[in-house]
Amino acid sequence: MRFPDTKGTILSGFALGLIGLCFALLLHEAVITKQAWQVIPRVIAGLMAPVPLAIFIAFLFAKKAGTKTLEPSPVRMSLYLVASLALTIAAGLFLRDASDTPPGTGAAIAESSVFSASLLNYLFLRSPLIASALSGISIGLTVFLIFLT
Amino acid sequence: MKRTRLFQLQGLLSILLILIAAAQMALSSEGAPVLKVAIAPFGAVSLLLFAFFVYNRRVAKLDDEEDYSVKRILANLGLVAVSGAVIVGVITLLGDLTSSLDRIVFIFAIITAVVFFIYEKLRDFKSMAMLTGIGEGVVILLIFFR
Repeated sequence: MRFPDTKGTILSGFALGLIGLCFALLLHEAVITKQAWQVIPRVIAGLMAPVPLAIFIAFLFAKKAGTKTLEPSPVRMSLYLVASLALTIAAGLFLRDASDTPPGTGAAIAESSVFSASLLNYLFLRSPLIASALSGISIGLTVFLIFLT
Repeated sequence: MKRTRLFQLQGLLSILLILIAAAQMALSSEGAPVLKVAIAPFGAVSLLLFAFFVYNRRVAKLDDEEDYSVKRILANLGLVAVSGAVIVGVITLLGDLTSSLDRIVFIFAIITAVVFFIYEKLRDFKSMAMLTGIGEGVVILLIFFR
């Protein structure tokens, strides 16, 4: 994969560091609470599920790296972010009330696919509105899963 | 010493202190489901990507030859105190919300993302004061409030 500049490299390194920290905390936490060890490979598999597809799409778009740049307008982007965040939390609350099952590996797959789509958009497509909508969906999903379930 | 180098050093040191505080609070916390802990940092990374989209340009106003006036230095010392108090106050007031591991990971990932955004994009006297305040605030939180 070819990065357009050093900024993309630094950003990817930061994201990888955060993901590594989260896996370390996850292992420590599983040791502390003595949960079943079978949970960990399933969660890791759920987080890694969209990555091969994302790398394939990056392989397809590698020639067009960084050609498109649009002028972002902060007010409109913030509007898209808030709207998609509110829609995601509302959909999550509706689904929670409709069915009583706790969130499973599907939540990890959804979060990871949204994040890799956002990273692909940052590296290749560079559309501000898609970026703000995907960020809103991701933040809303995280806040809903952590604070509201 | 160059001011840009000092700014970079301060940013890296602040991130290190925040990670130490996060590790200390995580070690003395309750357990949480593995899925929630794994998902917690993704929101902060998405927020960081969004912030990089909105603020495209880099602000770098650090001149080695410039002498700062007394009024400006006092104002930025006040900013140091305010940002440290904000960090300590927010994490202390959250209180019961920071009892389980996934919430600690979420909150500290957001603080790390804010510090990394300042470090990457806003190289300024004001943001230097903010970095100092955040680092000192985390240390004071670790020593006196936990």
